[in-house]
Amino acid sequence: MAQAIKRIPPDLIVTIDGPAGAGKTTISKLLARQLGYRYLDTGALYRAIGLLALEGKTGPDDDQALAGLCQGLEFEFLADGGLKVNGRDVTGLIRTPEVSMMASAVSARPVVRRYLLDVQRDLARGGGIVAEGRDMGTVVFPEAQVKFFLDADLETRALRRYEQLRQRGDMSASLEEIKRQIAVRDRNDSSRNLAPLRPAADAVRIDSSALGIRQVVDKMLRIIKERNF
Amino acid sequence: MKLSIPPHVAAIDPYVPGKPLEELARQYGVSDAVKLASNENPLGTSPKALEAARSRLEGLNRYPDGAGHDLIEALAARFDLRPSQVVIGNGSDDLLGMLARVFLDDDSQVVVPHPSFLMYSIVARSAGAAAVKVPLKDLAIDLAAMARAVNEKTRIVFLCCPNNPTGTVLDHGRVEAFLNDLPEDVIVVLDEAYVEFVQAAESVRSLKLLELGRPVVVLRTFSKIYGLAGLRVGYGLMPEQLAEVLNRVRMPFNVNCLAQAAALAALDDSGFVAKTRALIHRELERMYTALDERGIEYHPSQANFFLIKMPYPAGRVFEALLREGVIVRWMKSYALEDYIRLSIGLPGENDRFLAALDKVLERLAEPCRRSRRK
Repeated sequence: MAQAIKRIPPDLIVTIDGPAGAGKTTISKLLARQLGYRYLDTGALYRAIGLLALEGKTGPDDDQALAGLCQGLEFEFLADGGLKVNGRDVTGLIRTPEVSMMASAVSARPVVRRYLLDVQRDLARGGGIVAEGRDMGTVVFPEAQVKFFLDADLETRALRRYEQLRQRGDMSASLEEIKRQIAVRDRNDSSRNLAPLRPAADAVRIDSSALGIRQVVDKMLRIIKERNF
Repeated sequence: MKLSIPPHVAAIDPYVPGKPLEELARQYGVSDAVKLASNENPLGTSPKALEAARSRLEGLNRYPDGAGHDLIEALAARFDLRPSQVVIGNGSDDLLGMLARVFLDDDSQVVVPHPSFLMYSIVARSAGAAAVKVPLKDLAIDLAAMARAVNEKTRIVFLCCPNNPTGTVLDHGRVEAFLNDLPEDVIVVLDEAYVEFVQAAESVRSLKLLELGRPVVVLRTFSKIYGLAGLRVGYGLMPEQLAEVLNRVRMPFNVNCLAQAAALAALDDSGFVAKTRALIHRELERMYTALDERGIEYHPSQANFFLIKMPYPAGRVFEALLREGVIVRWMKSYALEDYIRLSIGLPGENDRFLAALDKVLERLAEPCRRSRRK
């Protein structure tokens, strides 16, 4: 008979890091579903802290207040990808531009990153999870069994971002402007001292520029299946 | 055969689509015709979508994913909505049908702009409801008049932006004010089949309307900018409660597996979208200039089509163009009898239209000149 069907263990940690516009969110969600895994949206955690900081009128550089704010928070991801903090559904609240700005600011604070490091590891306990972010494979889950670094060329990422904004009705920025913003962010992300965006040494790099969403997910599944765990 | 057809169904004028190329070949023996009648994508289909559909060909013996999970997840991510706010349809007109089945009966009314996409009144009337038509003002939707047409029987108000067939858009602030003045239980359906072509920044930002806590349904399609008209796939974005009821009457496998696979890939193909948009915008401008040079009246548009006023009876021009192998849409059934609607095609196709139009108009002018000479 043919070789036994190789099963993917139910408790892996799969990380997907990469720059904005590489298609991480959709691909992570679809991959998680294919694997029967949970999906960990780490960006949502930073956004939630950003929301709480805004609501509490906490300055993004007030480390003491931020530390206090982080104490005793309870995060719960919902089946549809939503997020509850201390029992409150914040899914719709954390997607505003104001919260985005605040999330970005607080994510630069070591006190927040340290706190969320534990939260993320806690949420991933038991494995069976696809974790999406910018430092998953390098900092948060260095021991993850499967690591992907999802990238796409600047042109493609700018076009995707432009199209996304446009289809949401925001026509304020030109393609050229968006390309400039992304290039600046790329530079900041990869050059900052605190958790710079870079592929882990053992990450598989996938370029999504010329691939469809499904093709990327299929490729990832193939790579996972080929591994010996 | 003896059929007892309900009177409200018997009263419906069937929708007449643009003439397919095959029909023209049969009727007039024209084989190299160009079709500029149904606002289709002249560049074809997103290559990523084609590739995805091809790779799904194996397994057609299986039913599609009835929940459309992957596509819905991707759409939700695109718009920062919850998957439970997205409903997919066999083209966005499938969603029009669902809305009618859920919310309309023979005691209710809908308010529709006129002329606009004809299916709004057809779905309403097929559910027994009355369609109150509100004339456009200067070819644009007249929100004030629409608001006045709303009464206690009104269940749905249809808006189309850009409006088909006039190509006009609605101002965001005005739509917001319109919504706020509406009775809270009146559903507003905003059909945005052509939204990806819009150039005017002041045009309605539909996703913002979804934040108002009102029963708003935003309809979009993969038929136009993604070039998937033949596969039939569209979607609606709406509050959760609305999506939940629409899903109750949605046919379980309404979007086939090729369409789901292709749409998912197309959504990500920003390169194809950008290429299409650039072509449409460039060619629109070129056609405006060409018509200006000829002194022919037209209405600039925010979509991938526009209206041209004919200096001769438009029905005759339309027929004569057909014989020249150019299919456009005569706007008679849209109550714009003097107009034809031209969908933007490839540069060569648009040139074919211009050449045919010149020929046809010259021919129509001849008898007049002759009679004047006599």
